[in-house]
Amino acid sequence: MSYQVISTRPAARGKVYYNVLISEGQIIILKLDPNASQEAIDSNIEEYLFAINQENSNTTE
Amino acid sequence: MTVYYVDYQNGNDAFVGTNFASRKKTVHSAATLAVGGDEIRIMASPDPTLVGTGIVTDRPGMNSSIVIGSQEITFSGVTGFTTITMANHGFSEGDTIGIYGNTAGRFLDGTWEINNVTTNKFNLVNYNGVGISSGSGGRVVNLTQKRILLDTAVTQNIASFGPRTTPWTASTNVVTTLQTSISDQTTDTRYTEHDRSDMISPNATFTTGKAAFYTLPSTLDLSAYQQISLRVKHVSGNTNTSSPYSNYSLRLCTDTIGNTSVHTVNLPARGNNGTSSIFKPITVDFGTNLNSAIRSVALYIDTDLGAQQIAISNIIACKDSSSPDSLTLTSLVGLNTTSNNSNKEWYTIESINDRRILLNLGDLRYPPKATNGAGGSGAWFGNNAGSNNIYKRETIEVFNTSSSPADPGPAIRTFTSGTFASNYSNNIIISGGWDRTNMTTQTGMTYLDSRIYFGYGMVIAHNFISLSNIGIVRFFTNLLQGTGIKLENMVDFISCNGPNLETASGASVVGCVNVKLIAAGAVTGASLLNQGASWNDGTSPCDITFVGYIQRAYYSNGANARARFTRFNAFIGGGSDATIDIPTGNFSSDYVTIFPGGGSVATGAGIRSQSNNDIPGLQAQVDDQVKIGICTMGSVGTIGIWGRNASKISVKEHNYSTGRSSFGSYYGNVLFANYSLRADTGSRILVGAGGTVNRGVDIASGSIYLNNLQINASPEVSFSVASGGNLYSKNHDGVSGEFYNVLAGAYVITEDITTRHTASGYSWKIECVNQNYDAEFMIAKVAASASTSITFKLYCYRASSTGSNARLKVLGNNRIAGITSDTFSSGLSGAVNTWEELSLTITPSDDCVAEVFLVLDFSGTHTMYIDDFSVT
Repeated sequence: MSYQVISTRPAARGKVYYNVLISEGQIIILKLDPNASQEAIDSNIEEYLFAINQENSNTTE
Repeated sequence: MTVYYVDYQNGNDAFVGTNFASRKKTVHSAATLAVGGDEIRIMASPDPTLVGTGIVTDRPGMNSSIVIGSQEITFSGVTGFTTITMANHGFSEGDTIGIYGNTAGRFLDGTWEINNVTTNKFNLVNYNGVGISSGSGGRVVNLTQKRILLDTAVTQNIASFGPRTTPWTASTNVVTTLQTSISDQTTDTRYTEHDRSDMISPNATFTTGKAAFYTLPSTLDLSAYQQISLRVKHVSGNTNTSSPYSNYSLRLCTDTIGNTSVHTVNLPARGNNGTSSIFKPITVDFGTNLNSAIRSVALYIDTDLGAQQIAISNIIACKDSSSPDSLTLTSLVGLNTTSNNSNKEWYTIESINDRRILLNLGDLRYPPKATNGAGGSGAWFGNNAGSNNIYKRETIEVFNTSSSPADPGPAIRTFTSGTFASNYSNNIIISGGWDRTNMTTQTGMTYLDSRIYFGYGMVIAHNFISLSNIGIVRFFTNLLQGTGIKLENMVDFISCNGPNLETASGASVVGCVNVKLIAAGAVTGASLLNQGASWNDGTSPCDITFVGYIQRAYYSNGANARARFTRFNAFIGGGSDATIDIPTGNFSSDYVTIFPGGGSVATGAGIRSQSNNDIPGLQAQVDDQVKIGICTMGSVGTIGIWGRNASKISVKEHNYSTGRSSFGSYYGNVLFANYSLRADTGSRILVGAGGTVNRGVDIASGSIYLNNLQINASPEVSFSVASGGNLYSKNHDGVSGEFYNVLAGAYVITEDITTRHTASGYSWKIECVNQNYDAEFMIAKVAASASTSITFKLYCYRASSTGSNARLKVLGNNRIAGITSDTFSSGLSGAVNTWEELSLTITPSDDCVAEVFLVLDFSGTHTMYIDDFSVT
């Protein structure tokens, strides 16, 4: 999976923002636990991309 | 003031109607006489009675079907041992499921209870798979959410129910077939119970007499019952049009081959306007105990009308009509305990099989199929899942008394030929629920029923009419055309298959209290279809509740459509559209609850505003097409609130949740991507006073303004340069004093205390998170006097890199009086990690309000701080 963590900053309730470039010009702001593992970041992004893909491809049954 | 009395069962429109003894039969007849200030009273339908206790599942969402994959079925020749293995199917022990479209040739399609349920497996109770093998195909859908499971059955199954493999026995010149679903996608109504009906087809040669019979597996003692209830569908052939009854009848017989008839059930005619797609529920009360030794049933052709096709389903015996538990297929059922309790909903019945009642919640024209949630939509029982007292009440069937006796109503009709009231203080009152003794007290409700989902139930063309204590059941639609109509209290529209309620262009509804639109609106895709009417006068309560399958609960389809509700509750499972869909017009509500909402598929939304029409609203909402107070929604598919096409939406408080566990809105095993908010194409969404959401915010190509909204989601925000949207979030994520802004899909702007020009307050941190993108944003509007110099200054700090730059700009080009051209300061030229001041002086030629912008020019993902803006 190809993405780039642009920067991080503290978020509310002890979380941390990850500004992530997931494709050209497309940004998502993750809100994860501090020191989130690579696997946690991967998982969050994968889940988001999977869901977006569902949204884009789904039609009524 | 004159009081008119109307009794739909024993009245006569030839009577004067001005006293109980000479009561009329229809509102229409009374309405042609009434003038402003008069009252039209309608006799109540019977009050609710206690059927017994039973289990309900409070899950109003849509359970979409799941494809049965390759080799997921393990058939067994031992009853109850066939297993379906399906990863994370989500069913629970004892659930009722429907299987449709299986082609294994083993009669798997139908309605089943399941047991031995594990995460990935379940067995079908009472199913026999004939032999051992594996199989595939079809879809399975949970039906539990529309089920009432009685603790004790109150009806007796007779015939045409449950799993069976052979049709009735045909006489000569008659063909009998088991009608089954032809696919999981079918819209051909071939059954209403299990997955089949019994069709009897006499050909043109057949004349009269016994067309077919069915031998019961064992002798039935029906002496504890007095009524027969079933569903029948006139599929094709001639039909009576001069009588409510057809030319054929169902017989209950004491011999095994349908020859010795002891009870005759005259079946209904299809009528001129009846539709061949409808299985009409009927109930016949014999008024005495039925025979104690019924051994067969038969269909007789009593008058020869040529070749016909008749389909029969779900023949049951029901108790004495005076017995509280005399449940029939024409009853309404629910948890309502009293005659006029507005807090709980009544539902029509799809089928009864022993203890299991399935409710009508889907697209009523079609079979309870697997697709599009029609089969899987759930009922709302007001957070009362579990064991409850189950009540039923009976409706009054309304026939057209003139041109076509087999056709329904309209039930409540006021034509423009009547005399109008002149204003609402002089309104005509139409009220139901008047006692069945002498109509002196209003104690209940009047439910009027077409039984065939056809015709107009209510047509109000008069002005200044108030309606109360009336239920319209199983018509096609209801139409309000007049002005000043008030749905005063407790008006139900149940299972009306067109729009449950349609308000015509130019009509106005000045208030509604306890109005419920239940289960339907499928044909036009809206339960409440606003064709350009005005809902609410801005001062009266306007409370409305929607339950059941529908693509849209509210849909404005007219340029002048406007609505101001005080409370809008939608507990629905839907198709591909928004629960509240506002292509044109205005909409506002003090409270909105959508749980779950339309759009369990990808394109759905809770609220979707699509218009940039600038139509003044009812509360001077010149700039807002959609204005909502407290919004609570969840599991609505893709997007909670969706602004499109430069629409403007303001919400005081937004609470959004999604998830499969609580309300079952999901597509197969996939939980959708959901955004709590999305602003597309120049739209603006404001959430002014917080709330909590568990899905993120998609800025897209609009602007979102948030205050104190807690976002328990990751990703929290998504945006892109290409879309270029903006987010302005104050007290961001529920934290006081936090700011989080996104500008042009490229810059994140937040408050900062680590890098400040003056060691107090905070600076603004501007972080470009996209590549090589320029943008500008307004930082001040300042009043300026003609011919007087004014200077704007701002300190900037480039962090680590000179790849970021900025200038001040004052908007000109004659867009501001007195400033003829855009004016810019110089850019930054100093070293990194130092504060540098930008300065710009203008002298306007006229008094004006100068608009000051910061123009950003970043060559990459760099960071800049700004602080201490000043004006001299």
